Amino acid sequence: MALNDIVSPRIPQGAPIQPQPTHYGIVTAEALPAVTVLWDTANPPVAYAPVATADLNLDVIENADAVTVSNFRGKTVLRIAPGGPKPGDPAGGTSREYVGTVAGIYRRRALGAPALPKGPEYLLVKSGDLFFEDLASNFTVR
Amino acid sequence: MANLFAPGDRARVKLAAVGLLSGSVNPQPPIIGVVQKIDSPAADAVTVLMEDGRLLQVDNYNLLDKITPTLPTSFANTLFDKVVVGIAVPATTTTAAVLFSDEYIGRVVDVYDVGGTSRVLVRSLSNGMYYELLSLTEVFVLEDR
Repeated sequence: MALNDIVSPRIPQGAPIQPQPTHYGIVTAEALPAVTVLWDTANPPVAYAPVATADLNLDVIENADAVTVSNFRGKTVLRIAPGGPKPGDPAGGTSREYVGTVAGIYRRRALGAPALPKGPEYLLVKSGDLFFEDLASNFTVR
Repeated sequence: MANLFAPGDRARVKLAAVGLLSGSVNPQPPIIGVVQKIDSPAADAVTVLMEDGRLLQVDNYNLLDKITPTLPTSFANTLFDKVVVGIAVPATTTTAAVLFSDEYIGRVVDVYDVGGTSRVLVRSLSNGMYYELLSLTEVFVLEDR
């Protein structure tokens, strides 16, 4: 089911920074692979009609686990460097200028994919004027 | 079922669903408009005038959240022009409240109800992020600022 689902454009894996926030929308009509989405920008709904559902590159946004919400809501976070945590530095050397506040906590599941297994959990973080979204497991609370 | 909206009501795009709780996502920035008309003959349709002058027409009012004043207004008014921060864990008889981290300290932008629940929209002083506190009991007012 996609009607009334909340969706978001798929974020590129490995892209470290987004110069703009992630946007979300509500599905107003669906006959997959065609969907119409009303975005949070409040512009008129946009109809998409690709050849295949996968070509939409839209993810359904779903609830993260309560423990993840508890761990990150209202917290200041820092992304863990690709090399992983180090003794004395759980962020593994990430510059402190990348510290940020959490704007969103949720799961992503490809639109059209089965409801189970659940999709991975993500955080949308704002750091200064920049945004970045990554797996919740890639962040540490500062 | 009668249309939920009437001209003059405030509205925003709904971003909560059966599978998603309120507060999971926070649009940056949030955009709220005012209902201009209920469209006939399709009585479920609503036309909303957005703050920048655009018109948004939707065929089904269920795609929108209705924004109503928080009551009692006198209490909501006490939050305007205040600096606040969220309460992560309420105080108990033996422990102090656990607040959001200092980076979330911000100015109150708006106080309103959505679906019968009071919300407080805050913009952080540290980085300008908008976030919504989901009840008045989540608001900690920082006095003497």
